[in-house]
Amino acid sequence: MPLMPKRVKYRKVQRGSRRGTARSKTRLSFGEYGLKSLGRGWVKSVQIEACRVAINRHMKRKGKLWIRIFPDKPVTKKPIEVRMGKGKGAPDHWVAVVKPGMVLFEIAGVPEMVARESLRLADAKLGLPTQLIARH
Amino acid sequence: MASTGIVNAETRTVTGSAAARRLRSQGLVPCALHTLAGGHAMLLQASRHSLDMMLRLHATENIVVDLVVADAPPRKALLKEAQHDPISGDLVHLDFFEISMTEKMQSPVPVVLIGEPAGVTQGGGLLEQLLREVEVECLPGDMIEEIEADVSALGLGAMLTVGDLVLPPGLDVLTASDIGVALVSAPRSEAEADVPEEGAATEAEPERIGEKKDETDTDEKSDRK
Repeated sequence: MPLMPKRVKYRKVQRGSRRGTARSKTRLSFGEYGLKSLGRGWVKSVQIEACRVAINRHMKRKGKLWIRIFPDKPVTKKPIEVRMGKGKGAPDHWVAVVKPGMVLFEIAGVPEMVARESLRLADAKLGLPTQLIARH
Repeated sequence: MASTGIVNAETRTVTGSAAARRLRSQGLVPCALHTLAGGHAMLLQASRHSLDMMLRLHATENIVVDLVVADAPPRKALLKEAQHDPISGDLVHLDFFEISMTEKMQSPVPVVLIGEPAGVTQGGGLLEQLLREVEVECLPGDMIEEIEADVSALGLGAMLTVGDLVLPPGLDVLTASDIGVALVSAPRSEAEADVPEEGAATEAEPERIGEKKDETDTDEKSDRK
């Protein structure tokens, strides 16, 4: 099952704002290496899961991974071949709102070369420009 | 004592975000000095390049510096906070707190782990650093730049706590002594690593807070139309 909240107040929400830069999650909090977003956008829950699998596979299940974003925003979609109107579509998937400067993933317990390659593989799953950051 | 840096600053007359932006474009960083006398902070500006060069030499940003403002004699000040741009990482603003060399001060000090734990080399465990900074109280002259913690004796499942840290005399740790600093955890099994992240719901759609089951069904029916 994809990542999504267990309980929500509203089934559908409006698109909201993506303006500005990140105000939180801007620095490494847990790991030694991290992947920071330089762009803005919505990251789907399946993309986050693909990143997690790619990182864990390359780390050969050693080390530790922290996922700093969570897809808490529902996105609706109308069925195909349906005319416009007649109300908002049904919830289709979940996204995390990502702003520039936000740390998406953090890694610890692996050598630098492994961490770099793991995060590069994760970057390939995202449609955002990213940057690798290190604590030292 | 931690090696101190020297910051050459000038008094700043302009305030506000637009003026601060103009200063940054000229290679300057707006700063504020909170003096021992209290009251309003003294507004300063300093060269970004010299500040970057000074901070690069230190393991932490919370250092004691000699602050030289114009032609006045240098003042001892603690770099309380350095704000960075979230994207470029450039310095945006610095907050200095003037300190007295005879009064105790509080500051966070980073913890650096030294050595390879036995639980990692022999047991194949994973070393996790749970705490990266501890709050200490000391005279400015006794302040150290980092605390080294030897983790080479840690076995599988063993934890190093704040109470186990060896500190030089004159330093009092304010962080609770039972808080963990480093832990050697057992290696993960393959099945454990493949389990989806916590928070993943098992249902197709999450439960709604404060809504009855019937109302949810009605809403779903309207979506299908």
